[in-house]
Amino acid sequence: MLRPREDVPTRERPGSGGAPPRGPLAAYRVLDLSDAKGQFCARLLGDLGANVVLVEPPGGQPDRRVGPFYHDEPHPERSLYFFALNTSKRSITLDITQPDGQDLLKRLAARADFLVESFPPGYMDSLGLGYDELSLINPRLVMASVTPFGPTGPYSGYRATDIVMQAMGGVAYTTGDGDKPPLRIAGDQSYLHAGLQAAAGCLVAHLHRQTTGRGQQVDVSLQEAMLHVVSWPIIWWSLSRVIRQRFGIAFEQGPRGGFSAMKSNVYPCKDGFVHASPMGLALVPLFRWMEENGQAGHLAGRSWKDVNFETLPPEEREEIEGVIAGFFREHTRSELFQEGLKLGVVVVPLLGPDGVVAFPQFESRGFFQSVEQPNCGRLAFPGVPSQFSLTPWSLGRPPLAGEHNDETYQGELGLSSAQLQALKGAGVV
Amino acid sequence: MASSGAMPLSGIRVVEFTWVAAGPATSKLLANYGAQVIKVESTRHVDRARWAGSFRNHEANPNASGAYLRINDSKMCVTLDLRHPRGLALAKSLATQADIVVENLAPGALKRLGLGYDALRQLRPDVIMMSLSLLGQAGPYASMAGFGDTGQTLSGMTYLTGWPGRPPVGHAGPYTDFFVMPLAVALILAALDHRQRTGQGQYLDLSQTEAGVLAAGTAMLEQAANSRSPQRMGNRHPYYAPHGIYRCRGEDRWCAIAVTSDQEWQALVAVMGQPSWTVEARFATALARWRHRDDLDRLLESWTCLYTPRELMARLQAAGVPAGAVQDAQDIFTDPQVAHIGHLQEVNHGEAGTHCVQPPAYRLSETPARISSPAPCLGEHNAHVFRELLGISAGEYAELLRDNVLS
Repeated sequence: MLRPREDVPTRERPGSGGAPPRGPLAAYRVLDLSDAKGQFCARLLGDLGANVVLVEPPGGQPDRRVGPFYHDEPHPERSLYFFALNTSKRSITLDITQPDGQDLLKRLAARADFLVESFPPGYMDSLGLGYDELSLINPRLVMASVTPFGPTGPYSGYRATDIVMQAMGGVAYTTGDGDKPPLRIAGDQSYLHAGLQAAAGCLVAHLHRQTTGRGQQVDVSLQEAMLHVVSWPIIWWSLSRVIRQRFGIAFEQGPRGGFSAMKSNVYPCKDGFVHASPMGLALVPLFRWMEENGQAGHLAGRSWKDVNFETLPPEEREEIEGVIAGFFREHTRSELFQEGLKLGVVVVPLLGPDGVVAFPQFESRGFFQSVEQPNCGRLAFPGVPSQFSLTPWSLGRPPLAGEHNDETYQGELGLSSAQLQALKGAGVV
Repeated sequence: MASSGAMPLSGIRVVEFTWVAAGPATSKLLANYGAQVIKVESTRHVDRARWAGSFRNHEANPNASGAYLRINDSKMCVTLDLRHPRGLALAKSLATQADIVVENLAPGALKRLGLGYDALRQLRPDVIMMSLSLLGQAGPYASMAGFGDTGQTLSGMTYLTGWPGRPPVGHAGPYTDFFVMPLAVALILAALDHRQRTGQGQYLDLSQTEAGVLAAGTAMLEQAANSRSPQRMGNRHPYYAPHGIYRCRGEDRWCAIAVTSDQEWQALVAVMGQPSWTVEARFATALARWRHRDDLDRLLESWTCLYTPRELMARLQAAGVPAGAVQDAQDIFTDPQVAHIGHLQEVNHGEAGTHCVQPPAYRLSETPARISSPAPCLGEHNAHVFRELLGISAGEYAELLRDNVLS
């Protein structure tokens, strides 16, 4: 099911006589000046076919020094953290703090459809590369800025990493166990959410540009992106003045036909953990199954037909939950999952990454794509989570730092070899 | 519904057959930038978010459920009995007058009703249709039922999130619903742009669990490259220390602090007033601090617990140390930055009263998002949609009502 594509991720505009366009966005060019906070935006645009150039400072993006690394060997071309954010991009190096570098960036921006950046608010303006200047050169440009808190306001100058944003965005408070401190969701989730919001925003602005001919600015803050994850606690406070607490993975039930009332939905089993879905904990088939196994304990023989778990007293719920948990402990993840599927009881294996990469559903859709990465060999990357009937996507590999300097500066901007050498000598490229 | 003016998605009509979270939230974000969104429901099988609460004063009412109100603003709602041939015909008429159809029912459900992509494209060749599901429309487990919490677990995110030595925790609730939502918007708009240039529609089959796998992307590459899963590490970081969520003054009050450089460490030490423990050799370098992070966290917390989260954040940020109060819902409503960006927008709903809804997190300088109306009541727009938009006569409309087709 793997569909490896050409190693050189060159994409030509339609009609230019080159390779056929791939993905729905193959007609567009993106300049990506962002760091990890914003790189997921252009990754998605690139995976959908756009011609993305990652503009790195000389020596490469600092994220290239963030682990984990391929075979645990720290090396700027082996950062798995960088890889995950930078598929389907090309790379040039450019020092935009130097006047010659600023001039080159303007020439690139003149030809770009989108520009994405995640510098502190005001930094691009201070270099003469803010939206006001760039839109004079290219009025069609859509420029997206990803910042921790937004370009203005009392916290706009605050520093942030992901854990700070998960805290300020309301996510940490509602994540974790009630008897432990608030918890960060693993991975730099605020950066990923902001990147996706920025990609959506770029395309909204693009559709507007298609009718007006003019671009605009798109601002995404990590905090606001996180606030969408906690729309449930926000509406609870707004309507009922109730502060949602943290209690594991479970989410609160409604009064009728709503959601689960299970206190915790993660249960230990024989070979790991299972997650009992609130949708699948249908008591009738579950207890029939348990009784057939002689594992319904003292609850055997009880009729579950008219029992609404959600309205039972808490002690009774706990008692029932205890018996169910005992049943799960006697079985493997696979037994519970496969047998549960037959019976309409959704008890899914709690998959670690090893289980995810082997899960047959993903393979059947060709979701992971194997890409040959220089210095590393073939790696299976998660792709785009959607199939397109007409404009299928395929992943390009992450670039080496400055890998496309020559083809960009000479091939696209028309610099001579001598000019490029001079820029390299001056440390601009 | 008011005219859409010059919004980016003006003139785009979306018809949705959706329920619960990811589907409705996706089309809401389209509505906030000017798309006309018509949500098709049925009184027999209402969107179960209408019963999920929260309800003001605990008064259950399908028109006033928070789970619904938060992600269905700026839309119209019609009710149709899809088991009735005329109800089905009306649904088909609506769908074929749409530019975009969004659905997140069980895989195959719309197809069985004759409303699948192949049927719709016969009538509307350039329609764009997105099916958003737990695991995709086909494949060995495609028919499995589940919410975004199941998606979270099958994507690896639950496994990765938690404390060392304890069972995995995951995020509270259907995490992949929220991760997939802006992604779904981007994919739909990419298809819409393609259609505007080529005249061709297409079908998008989106799996929210796969979206969750993207959220765990680095861990997937670590598995592929090094045959190893990262372990749960709570709030700790593989390189940085101190890095965590620290107890503050008050009940269940906390502040996140992340020190990522020597400079930030020195700034933190200065804010603390240079207590003697900070000059010990075991905290002298970044590596030493990381190795002694248990002691470091304990000592740091003996200082953080003297302050409220916002006091601490302000003092640390003034010195250049990344820090942020752990905000609960009430805190979000009093956060001056949230107020500054206008994230919580009040609407007045006829049955639910005044409440807040959230605009998209992408802010466009020339064409700001708008919340044009609160979430609709069940069938609120039947007359408008069927009489005005589909042009049904008064007599025929009365018959539809009489025969319970609009229910």
